[in-house]
Amino acid sequence: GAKDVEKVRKNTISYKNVNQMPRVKEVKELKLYVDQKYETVILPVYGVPVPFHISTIKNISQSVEGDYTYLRINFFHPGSTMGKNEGGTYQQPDATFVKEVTYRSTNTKEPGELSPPSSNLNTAFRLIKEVQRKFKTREAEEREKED
Amino acid sequence: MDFLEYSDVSAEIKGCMTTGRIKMTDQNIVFKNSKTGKVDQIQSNDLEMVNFQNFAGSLGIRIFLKNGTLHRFAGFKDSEKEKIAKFFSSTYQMDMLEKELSLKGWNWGTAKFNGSALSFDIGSHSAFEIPLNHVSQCNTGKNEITMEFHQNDDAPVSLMEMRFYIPSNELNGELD
Repeated sequence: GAKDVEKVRKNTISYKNVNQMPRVKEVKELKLYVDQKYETVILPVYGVPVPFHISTIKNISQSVEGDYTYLRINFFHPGSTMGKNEGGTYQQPDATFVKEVTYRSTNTKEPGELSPPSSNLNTAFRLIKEVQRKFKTREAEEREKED
Repeated sequence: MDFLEYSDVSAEIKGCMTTGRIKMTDQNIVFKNSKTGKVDQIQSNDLEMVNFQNFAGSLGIRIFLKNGTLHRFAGFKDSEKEKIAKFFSSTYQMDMLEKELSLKGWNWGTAKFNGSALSFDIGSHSAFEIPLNHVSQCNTGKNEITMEFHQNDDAPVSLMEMRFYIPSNELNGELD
């Protein structure tokens, strides 16, 4: 019925057009960038900065192994547990989903570099968590209003 | 116009934008890596499709060859767009079509194989393309496919692995 329709996850879109995409150094250099204004994580995939809205991200984890830092991003997909109170369903459960991506970056500074390349992954990790927290808080508040 | 030459562009090489010089003549398109001096050549007879594509604020050219390989060059000035389009149409008799990328930010869509590239499309636009020669290993599991990639040590961050969720009906139909 009508109530079920309302429960469907809102059609959240990152950018309406290319002009909204941030023109920052990180994007041009094909690094990770967290756009806090549009609540979007921009991930480099073979030459193309690809936006992923924060609502598609389930969780992230970071690890340091030897000379490298790894950042793994897990996305929501059918069969994965949706948050307890989320109550959302998938718009296109028959689609193919990007389920997980892992990036690697070296912890070793090249001469002349102020910080090692892996600082990009550290910053992304911190900001994704932050934007995710804000987004979840807001969603919870909106749900409370609806109830 | 006999040829076009740009000295400050970049090519996507194993997930890293590599700076260099590009020269396009009626015979071929040559990219010279400014750091290593390595030269890549594309014969004009091998061109299958050419597109303009936006690479994060810069004008890019996407070249798809008859053998299925994908080449991408970025860093062209918007003011050169018309000139480049004209050159491709008069020299190679090819129209430069605009290839828009999906900016929706969704992680669901359709995975399509196009020559030796995998394109992940959201609606009618691609979100990204993966040249399959960069894949070092591919495994399938229950409702999933995992791709591991060759690493480029020059890239500040590099994509190690990508995993897709494939719905069951699709798996039955398309994969062995």
